[in-house]
Amino acid sequence: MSDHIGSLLDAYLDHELSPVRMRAIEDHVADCEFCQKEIEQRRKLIVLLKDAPPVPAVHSKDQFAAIIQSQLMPRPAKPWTYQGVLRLGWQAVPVALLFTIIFIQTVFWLGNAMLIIPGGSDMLLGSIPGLPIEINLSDPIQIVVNLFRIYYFPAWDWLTGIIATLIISITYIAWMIIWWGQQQSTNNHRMAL
Amino acid sequence: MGSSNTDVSTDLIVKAQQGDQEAFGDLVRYFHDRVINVVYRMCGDRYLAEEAAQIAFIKAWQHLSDFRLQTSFRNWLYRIAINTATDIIRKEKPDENLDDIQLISNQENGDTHVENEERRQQIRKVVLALPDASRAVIVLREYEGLSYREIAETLDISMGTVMSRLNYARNRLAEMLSGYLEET
Repeated sequence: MSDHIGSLLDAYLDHELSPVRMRAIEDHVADCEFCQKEIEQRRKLIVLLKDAPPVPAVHSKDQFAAIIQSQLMPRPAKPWTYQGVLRLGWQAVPVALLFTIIFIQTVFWLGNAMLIIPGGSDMLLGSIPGLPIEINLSDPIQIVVNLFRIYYFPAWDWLTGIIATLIISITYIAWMIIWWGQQQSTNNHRMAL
Repeated sequence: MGSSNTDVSTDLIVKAQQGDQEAFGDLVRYFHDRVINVVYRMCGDRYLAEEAAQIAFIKAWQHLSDFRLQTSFRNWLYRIAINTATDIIRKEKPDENLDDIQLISNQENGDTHVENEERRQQIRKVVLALPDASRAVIVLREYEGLSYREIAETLDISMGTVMSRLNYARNRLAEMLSGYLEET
């Protein structure tokens, strides 16, 4: 570096240059008395500027916040923003999971109970339009497949049942943990204010 | 980097965006000191600063739905505060020129406290006499400790402009405060 630091002086002092440039300047400054003096003066200036008196407050934080809140006009939230839809979807997750678990368990237990009662299965199947009489009542997947005409579900057995319930339960617990973390974070911020 | 909201709960911002005034009150309390500090350093008068801060927070509330969560809420708020302070100064205060300021440097009256106070007042005056654009950069850098990138994001200017404005401002201040710099 043949020239003095010049306009890079501030960026150098504020550590806003790339490491390569910083090193090049350091090498130059080591042998340049002019730049050493410039840097020294600049450092003094920064210290002087930072030695500012504290801001004299007119109102306390709480008073100020109360003044602001008294002037707030209700602002209608934007309907159907991308973020709003995502938020709604996120809040719907536990409801959907609970509904699924309840549905699976109800069908399973009710179906099995109806199978015990002689003629119970035929009676129940006959009362639900759209369901063929030959399906297994204790199989929730078969019921969904036939009710909604979705034919790409795997076969339902006890293992599928356990895995599905496990996945749903884990997802639900994970959601609860994330939600709890968010609540804690909000509360901590409120406590800190 | 200033592109996240690590210093304040995103949940609080989201609630305020949904119209929760209580959550916005929490945000006001959280950012009160910093916003007051910025506007005070911009306009140099506690009552003007209070007024500017109030207007800035009300503006923030009104435009909160435009705020993008991927960006820094603090920097967004600073931008509103600086613009508001600049508008208020233009309306309320006559321009003070750097060349009109007489420095009282090197005065020794024996009382260190008084000397320090005089020096601080002088520095405040000199900072206030900088052009608005340069003053905003100095305030964000020296009093709020923002990085160049954060300043660029806050003021919506390039990094190069941040560097040149900071360089200009510090050169002017060094010139005006040369008496103090020599004595320290």
